[in-house]
Amino acid sequence: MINIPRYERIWLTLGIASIVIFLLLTGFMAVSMNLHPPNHMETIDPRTATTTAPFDSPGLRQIGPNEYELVIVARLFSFTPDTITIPSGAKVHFKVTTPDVVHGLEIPYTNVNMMVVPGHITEYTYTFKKAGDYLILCNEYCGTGHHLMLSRIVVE
Amino acid sequence: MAQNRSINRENHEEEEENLKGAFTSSLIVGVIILLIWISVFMVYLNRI
Repeated sequence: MINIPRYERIWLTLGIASIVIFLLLTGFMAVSMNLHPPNHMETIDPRTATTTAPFDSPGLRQIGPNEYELVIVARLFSFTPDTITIPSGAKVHFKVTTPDVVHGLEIPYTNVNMMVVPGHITEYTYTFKKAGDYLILCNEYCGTGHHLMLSRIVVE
Repeated sequence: MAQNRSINRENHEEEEENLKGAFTSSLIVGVIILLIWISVFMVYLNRI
């Protein structure tokens, strides 16, 4: 048995315990509150992405009572569709892909923050509880027009 | 031998004593990390 001084034993225990608590909390949130980071599991050929359903007609589609699927194509240097109108309180399932380079999709002041990678479909679910204007912007540097790459969501 | 042992014990106790400062500062760093973690987590929860 290695002789660890008492104080060192205390701070090691506290450090390891806090890591375990943080991890358990993340697991608890995933299981009980269904909170996950954006999903990248589904793949798509980036060369044919914009001609493959559902990305051949991006936009908002109702899939249930106040529940929508929002298909977005991110490309150099815009998001399609440009402006999206969503009813207040709607649960929105984002489905995003890109035919060119890596983009980001962030809605400031919300938890919507995705990385859009060519060849992958990024998915995230968010409920728009508050009415108002939301900005969608690209937060991964994608080229000279990166700062112009934005779009709008109107929740009413 | 007995003398040696008592010297060893003294050294050991001195070492324990010397770790008090390290213990306090590591707790301070720990509390700062915890506060930052909690505040970021609260921001996340408020935005759900």
